[in-house]
Amino acid sequence: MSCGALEGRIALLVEGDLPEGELGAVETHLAGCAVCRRFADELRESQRDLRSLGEVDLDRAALASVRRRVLEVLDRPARRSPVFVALAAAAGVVAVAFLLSREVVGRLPEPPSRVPPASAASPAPPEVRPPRLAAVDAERRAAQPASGQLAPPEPPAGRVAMTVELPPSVAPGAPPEDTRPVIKVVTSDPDVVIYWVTDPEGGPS
Amino acid sequence: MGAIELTWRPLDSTSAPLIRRAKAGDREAFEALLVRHERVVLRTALRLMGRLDLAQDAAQEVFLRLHKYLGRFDEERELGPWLYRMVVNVCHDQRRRRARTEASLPLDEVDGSDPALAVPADAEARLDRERRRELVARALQTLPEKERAALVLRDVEGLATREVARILGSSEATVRSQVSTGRVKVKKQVEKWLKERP
Repeated sequence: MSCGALEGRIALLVEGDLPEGELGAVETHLAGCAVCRRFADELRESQRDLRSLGEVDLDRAALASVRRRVLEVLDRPARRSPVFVALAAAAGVVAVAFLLSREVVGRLPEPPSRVPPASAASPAPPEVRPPRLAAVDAERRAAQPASGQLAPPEPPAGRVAMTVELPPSVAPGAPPEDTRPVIKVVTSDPDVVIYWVTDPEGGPS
Repeated sequence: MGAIELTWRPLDSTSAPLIRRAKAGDREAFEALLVRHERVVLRTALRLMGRLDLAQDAAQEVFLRLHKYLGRFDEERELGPWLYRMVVNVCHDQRRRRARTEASLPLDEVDGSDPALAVPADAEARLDRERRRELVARALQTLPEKERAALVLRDVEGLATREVARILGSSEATVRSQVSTGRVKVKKQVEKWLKERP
């Protein structure tokens, strides 16, 4: 075994890292090679210096500086990253745009309801509504000014209300209008109102 | 052959209660953890980075990460290996960032004089030893990063080869190869400098 090839093994040997299986061969070589013995001695000295780097004491001011900096950062109020701020701003813009669009849609005129003229001989058919919805509707009607057209009732979330709408009153002498009853289906989405015009004669409406 | 038996120096034999409290948001417990481990973290970072200011930056980052990820840490495990791994990773990241913006660290910049080290009262008598120690510290900075990390953990911090392998995520055979090569390189580099500047 050449001396050059042994350098790495000697470097392990001096710190007790050489595997048992290689120990014998290296020790035998060292016993007969003054150059390698000298190399091993120098390496031990170098290793002593290297290990001593872990024994030196650090300046307290340097340690205190690190501690202070860490605690200062932790004491700072949490700062959002620029990416987070940009995403939050974008989400805000989208939310505002959505709300505005709903507002505009809400102001659009409702589709014309075909209401039959009032007639003493034909009283308005009663609404087909569950008791709870009927009570809600009654409150809504009471809160609204008298008009010929009812605002669509708003069912509770997840419910669909179906009403048969007829005008509450028509001025006497007014020209006859479409007498077909209109079924208004109001969904939980205030933007979705379904009008179903029934034809008593069975024709297409 | 007088092999030196290096033993594992546990960082955290009594850290578990502190970790539990710090995880629960106890600020004093976290500060106590910081004080307990700051010396090892800064020393290791100094040997890996070669400059005190860079080592302080790295140590700061290590403790901020400790604070951030402490909630995920199992307090029944040892904090020491986790912290060493964090120091190695943070120093690696910082060196890579520096390498992107600057040329490789000139040796003149390497902090061999270690202003962070307390000067002993009998410095005069130990001048030669101190000088050799400074040269060894500088020689560490000439090693490839992985060799340096293995050598710092194994020889400066005195961890067992098995622990070093676990921290670095490599095999014991690889660590043995790295420390073997590193030891020879450091020895030769110091001898070269001593010959150049007697």
